[in-house]
Amino acid sequence: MTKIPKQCGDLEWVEFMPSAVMVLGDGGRVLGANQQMADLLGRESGEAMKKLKNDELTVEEDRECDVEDLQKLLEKGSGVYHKAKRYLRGNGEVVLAQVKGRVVEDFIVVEVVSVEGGHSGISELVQGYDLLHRIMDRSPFLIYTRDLKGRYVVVNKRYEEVFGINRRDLEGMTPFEILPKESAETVMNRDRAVLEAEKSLEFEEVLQFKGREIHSLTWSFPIYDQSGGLCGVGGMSMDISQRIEMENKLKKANKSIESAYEELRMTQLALIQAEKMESIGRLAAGVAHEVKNPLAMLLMGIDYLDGLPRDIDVNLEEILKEMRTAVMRAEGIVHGLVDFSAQRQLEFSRVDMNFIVDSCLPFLRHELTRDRIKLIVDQADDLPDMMVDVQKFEQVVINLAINAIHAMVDGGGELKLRTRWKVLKGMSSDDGRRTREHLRNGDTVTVLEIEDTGPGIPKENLSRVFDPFFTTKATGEGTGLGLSICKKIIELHHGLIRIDSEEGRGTKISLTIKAVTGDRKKDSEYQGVRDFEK
Amino acid sequence: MVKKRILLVDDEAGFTRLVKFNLERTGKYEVKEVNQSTHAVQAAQIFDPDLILLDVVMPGMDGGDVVAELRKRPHLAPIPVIMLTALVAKGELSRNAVAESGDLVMIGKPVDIVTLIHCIDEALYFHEDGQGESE
Repeated sequence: MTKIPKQCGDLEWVEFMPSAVMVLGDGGRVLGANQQMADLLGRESGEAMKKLKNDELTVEEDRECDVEDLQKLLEKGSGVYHKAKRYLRGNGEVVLAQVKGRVVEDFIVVEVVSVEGGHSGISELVQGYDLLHRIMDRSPFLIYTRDLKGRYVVVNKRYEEVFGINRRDLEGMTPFEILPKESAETVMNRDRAVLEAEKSLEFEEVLQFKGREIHSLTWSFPIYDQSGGLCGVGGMSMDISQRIEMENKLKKANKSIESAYEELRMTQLALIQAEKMESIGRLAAGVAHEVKNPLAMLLMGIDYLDGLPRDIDVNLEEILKEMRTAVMRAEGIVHGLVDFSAQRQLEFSRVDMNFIVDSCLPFLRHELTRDRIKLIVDQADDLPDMMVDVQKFEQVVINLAINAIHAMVDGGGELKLRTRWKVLKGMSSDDGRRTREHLRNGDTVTVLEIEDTGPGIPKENLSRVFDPFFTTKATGEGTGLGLSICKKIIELHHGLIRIDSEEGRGTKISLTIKAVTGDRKKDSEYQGVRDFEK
Repeated sequence: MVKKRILLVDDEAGFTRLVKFNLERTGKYEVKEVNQSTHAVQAAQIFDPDLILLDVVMPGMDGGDVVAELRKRPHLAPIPVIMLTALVAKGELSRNAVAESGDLVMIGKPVDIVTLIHCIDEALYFHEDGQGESE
């Protein structure tokens, strides 16, 4: 509501209206009018018009209608009328005008919206204003002007629509009355900046309105009065929230494309690596085979020489021993090479971890007895099945168990084999590549733990333990290929192998394999499915 | 003592030579070397061995082919065969594994003479004893 004082003496504000305006009181009495209205009606001034009544200003034929309209409004106490009427100018001329009448408290404010008929200057002014007004009101931008104190002077239709406030009500308000405090401050700061800079500036701001966040883009400029003094700011704003949202969506899509690309690139690298490994594998297999034959011959020769009487030469014994050791070492390396290049094609069977443990135990008996190692077997009896290449998996288990036994070199240690199942939790998403088969949180898995009471693995070696050829054994003892092969086999099963070790306490190796569901379809995704009759 | 006759088939002449030396030194065996796998069957027919040591990977006919041919001939079929292989046999779990595949004994090369003789004697023993496995 406009703040019009009850005492109609103070109607200064009419002068600020851009269009011709007059205020009518009871009985059509003119309480005030601005210069434009005075000019339109051929009167000297708004002041001069105060003595008149609306009737006198209206063509006779339109008077009755006018009275009716005015009465209606006054009785109702609210409302607006739009109509065309003919005014009588001071000199008797008729002016056809489109007017808008509005109740404001106890008065009626009449605004001339447009005029027909030739009164150059005035009508042009009004017409010009009218055109401008129409342009402004068609604009999709929010257009506003504020005075030096931040009070709204002019707003366009869009402004009214967005803020849901009529322009008349808006007049005299400041942004603090229509926006939340922070946003109002932003807006006022904008005005201040423009006034200070005295030039037009562009602003991109985030404002809060009606609980929503709006991204707004504003061009604001200083306004000067006729004498050239700063009298306010004007601006055109656009809600670019949608555009920003689109931008963000694009950025997000771009990011996901980038990461997809990165993943693709990594996969490609992995594939190239895998192919290299396969060629190396084939090469290794070929080399191994070729080398084994000469080695076989050397061994036969050494065996023969070993049958010679020792008195031929005092060093014969030692030499033959060294030669034999050398051949066995070479053979071990070659053997390991072939294992390392093992077939990528696994033949899966459906068994559970207990079956594996039971199958491996006979192979460990000899070493256990010889080294006086106590064997503890802790098998869960509700294990789910898993799909593994039985021969290769057993190879891994025996390898690891023998390692454990050998670690307890002082004899009298304890080897513990434990099987259990669980649901995976706390897996970081970096574990392994993101393939369809890799383990994820929530997967049911079966676990085999091989634990010894040996000296443990020093921290600095832990990370290298799976490297091919890494070994801490003395030269000639073992080739160090064992663990890297084990890791490879477990990886081919899409499983996990983990080492927990502490110097002085012992080592525990965990093998984790995904359990199979009862879902036949899923299980048959593995190649060469055979039901293993236990 | 009657020496056991062993037919040794391997394309590596050096290897067969050394094996022959080693086996014959014991006085228990008489060894015939065959370095051309295609001559193996004929040599078996002429030599009438008690046991055949057979390499797997050979040019021309490989060990498997030779066994197939031997098995076709009724008087050669029962002769025990030990395969020597430089390949890693499936299921080989330790270095000097002696694996059995069907009724064939396989030994991985290189093999030391002690193990070899042990395998030969065992095969001969079982063959004499029951004239073929009862399974």
